[in-house]
Amino acid sequence: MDEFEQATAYIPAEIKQVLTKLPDSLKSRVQEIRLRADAPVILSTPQGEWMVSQDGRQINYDTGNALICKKPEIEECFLMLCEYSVHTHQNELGSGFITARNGCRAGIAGTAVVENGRVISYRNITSIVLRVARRHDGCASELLSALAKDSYIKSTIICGEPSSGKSSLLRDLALQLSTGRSGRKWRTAVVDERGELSRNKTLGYCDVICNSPKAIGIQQAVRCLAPDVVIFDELGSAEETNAVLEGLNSGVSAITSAHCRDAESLMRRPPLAAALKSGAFELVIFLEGRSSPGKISRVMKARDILAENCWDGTNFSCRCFCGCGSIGITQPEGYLI
Amino acid sequence: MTYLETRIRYSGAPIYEILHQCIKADFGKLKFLKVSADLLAKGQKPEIAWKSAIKSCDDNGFTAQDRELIFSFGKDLGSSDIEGQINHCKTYRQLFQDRLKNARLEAQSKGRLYITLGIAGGMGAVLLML
Repeated sequence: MDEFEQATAYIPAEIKQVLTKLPDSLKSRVQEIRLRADAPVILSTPQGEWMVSQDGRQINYDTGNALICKKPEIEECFLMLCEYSVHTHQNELGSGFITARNGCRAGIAGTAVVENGRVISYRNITSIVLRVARRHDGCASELLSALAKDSYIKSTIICGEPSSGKSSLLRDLALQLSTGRSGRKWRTAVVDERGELSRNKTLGYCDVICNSPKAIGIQQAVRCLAPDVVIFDELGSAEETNAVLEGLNSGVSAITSAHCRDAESLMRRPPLAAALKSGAFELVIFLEGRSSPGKISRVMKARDILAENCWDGTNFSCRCFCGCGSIGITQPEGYLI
Repeated sequence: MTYLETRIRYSGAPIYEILHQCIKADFGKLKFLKVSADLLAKGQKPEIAWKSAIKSCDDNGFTAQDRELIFSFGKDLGSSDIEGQINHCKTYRQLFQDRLKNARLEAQSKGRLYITLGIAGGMGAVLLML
């Protein structure tokens, strides 16, 4: 079963039948299948968004023959993704997504159910975005020499916009580091909060902690599994970053990912700026974007990013919005003009 | 029902897994549980899975009303969050208890009737023999 088929496994029969008629050349490029209540089914590709005609052709506009997803079909798709066991996915639903049994991830939109100021679930589902998770085997190969030193792995943040291949790169790194394709087998722990990295996928000889909150999972991995490196997905909120940093300042390397396009947007996110400033991460890798998933555009040292954001050629001023308030005229150490 | 509630709250497992655990935990006599669990595990819709399961257990002595109640319980099992499921189980626990109470009363009254009929029949037979 290919990736497109895996993603459509949870789509109600009537829509699935039409999608299976699509040409293979399109199927192989689809990154997301977007279902909205009483609206046309949309396919996202690196080249743009497309609709599907009722007879299974790729179309640009709805001239009355577009394949429409009806409200009951959205509900059916939601229940299928949950394997008719909504309670099993309650934690994921609170974060607005579901990871199905076959590893396919779906974003959910609808009416949030809030309890004590926290979203605990969604009802009246109106949109489902099915990610077509593609394997990019070997995409981490060129990174390995940059990451692996003689005795340790450099802690790294992999940055990219949605669908740029961050998870694929993390998965391939986990596989390559743990199986020793870099020349040495590294003890690798994976903290897979969303189940997206490991569910239904081979991660070599990794120790995988699944469905655990990142901070708890990292601390557990560091204390109990004695890893050389901990790999986890999506460093995000301030609370989460603080807890993660606490777990990481223990001599264990970390490789993670973050949603941002470039160094400037990275530093505009206070939790990520704080993570860089803490010194917990040595390298930052930027990916090209959704047009070339898994492709690396730039590898930078964390200290260079910090320096770039503090030295504009004449003045030393902090633009990272991290609240450090640094202003001066000294060129930061290690900054290369 | 209590077993189901506990499993839903604490194991977080999908319904088909919980049903399989029920079968192992001494509820194996309820054959429809296995049929529905197997069908649900294959991705079948709950409505279809429970309907087929109940059809397949005609020999269990359930009345049409019992079957209807089991079906309506099963088709909505797994369709809401934990609190919703616990409430669903509690509602149906009460409904099943009512059915059980009625069935016992019916059995009792029918039992008395059969005893009376038996005695009358016996007396009739004795009179005929005399």
